[in-house]
Amino acid sequence: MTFLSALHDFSTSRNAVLTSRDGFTAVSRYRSLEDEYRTIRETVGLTDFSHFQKFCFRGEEALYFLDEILPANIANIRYGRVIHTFLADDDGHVLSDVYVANQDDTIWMVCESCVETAVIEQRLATANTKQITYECLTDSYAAFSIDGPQAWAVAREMFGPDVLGMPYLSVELHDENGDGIVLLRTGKTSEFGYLMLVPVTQCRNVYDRLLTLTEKHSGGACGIDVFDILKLDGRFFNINQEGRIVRDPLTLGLQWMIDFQKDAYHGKTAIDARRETGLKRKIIGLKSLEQGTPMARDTRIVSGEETVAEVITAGFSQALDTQMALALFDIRYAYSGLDFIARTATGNVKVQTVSLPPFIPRSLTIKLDEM
Amino acid sequence: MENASLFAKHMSSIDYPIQSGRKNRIRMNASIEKKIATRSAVISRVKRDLIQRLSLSYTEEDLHEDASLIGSGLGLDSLDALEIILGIEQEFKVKIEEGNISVLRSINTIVDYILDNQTITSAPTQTVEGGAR
Repeated sequence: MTFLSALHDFSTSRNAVLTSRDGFTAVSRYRSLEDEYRTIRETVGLTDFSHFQKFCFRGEEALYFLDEILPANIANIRYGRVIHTFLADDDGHVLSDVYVANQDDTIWMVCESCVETAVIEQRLATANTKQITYECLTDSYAAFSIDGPQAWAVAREMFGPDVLGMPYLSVELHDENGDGIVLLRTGKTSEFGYLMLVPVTQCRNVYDRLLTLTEKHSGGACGIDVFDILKLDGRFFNINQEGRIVRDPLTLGLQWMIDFQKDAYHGKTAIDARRETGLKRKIIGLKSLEQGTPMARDTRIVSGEETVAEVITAGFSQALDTQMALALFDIRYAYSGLDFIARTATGNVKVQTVSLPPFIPRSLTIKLDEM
Repeated sequence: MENASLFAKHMSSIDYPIQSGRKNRIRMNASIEKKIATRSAVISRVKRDLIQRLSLSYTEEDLHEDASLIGSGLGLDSLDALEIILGIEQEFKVKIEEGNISVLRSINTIVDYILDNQTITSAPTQTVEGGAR
């Protein structure tokens, strides 16, 4: 059965273009992707991510249970903080991009996955054998995100000035008519980002207020597809693009999400074995140096007669004003600043490997402690 | 349907069917080889310095050059940022302007800055005594 956001009918009535995958239907976009990209890079965008799989755990053993499943050091998350990691299968392949938040007596887990909820729940099944209260909240909680250099202004007006003191990867609980809104300072665009978990009973009210504030700050509603290009040129891991295709966290460059000193987590044996063998390929960013047929998935990147890489995902970056891609490179060539040729569908295009993130996002120039 | 078939294709293996892993490699272009040698040497020195100064529990190979350093990624804080800047300035004889943390977006952006600004390209690799916290 396809998951629909509690705002599905409302979104449809506002002429949203929809997209369906992995057991859910969500808003692809409201306007052109170019417009929505500019909104999030220049002002603030409001996005309904209710299809994210959401779980909460209670009980003294909750952190230790998740520590045995996830590769990050979950057991040591401080109160009020969030850890960004992934969930792997037994072969050490990425299933889900995960936030774990330690908020008082509740541990929240938010998953952006390339598999359906049932697969994630299978990985969590042993929770029922421990002294833990575990609940899937995907249907009972909506998830809204505000992203952009003005996201802080919307958050401040919505939740009060104290939210400006929230460090990146932190969590707070805010009251909403007796219900709790879980506010996570996160973001995967390289701009300011706040993710809210909202009880569905409050979600229309909260969304309307957020939309009013977002529009007040010259922003607007956005769909989920623009995040593919925002993550690409912001160099945030995208489970729906490179994650879905490459799947090995080491090749994807996600070692920072792993505590290699841990004794156990799902997929550890396979990941450790691949780490011991060493990488043969690596994900590297590319930008096009000239006009031409855009790079696309499987476009070959060559040096002379040798194929050195193949494109995994590509898109037009307005920030760079050119085509950008992530390609899986032969490890010998996996360096930025090198010139190659992309063999596109209709001809050759000069490309160059680039250091990521390739531009300075507007949010990096804003100091919240001076607001 | 298309998504489903793509997913099934890639569920089957982490060995993405890329041709660049072939054994019969063609000799690397000399210009590219030179650029890689220069960059690779700086990357290695930056990684060693980061691991040592910040007591990171990673090997050089574990640190992807594009991983974010501050906030997301390695999650370093402002004190770490000061340590990194100090290390870069000592090791590579370059000056990073106060407040210019955009250089610290990733290891690759640090390396770009060093390669663009280094005047003494043959600075010796040195062990930083007492740098690790």
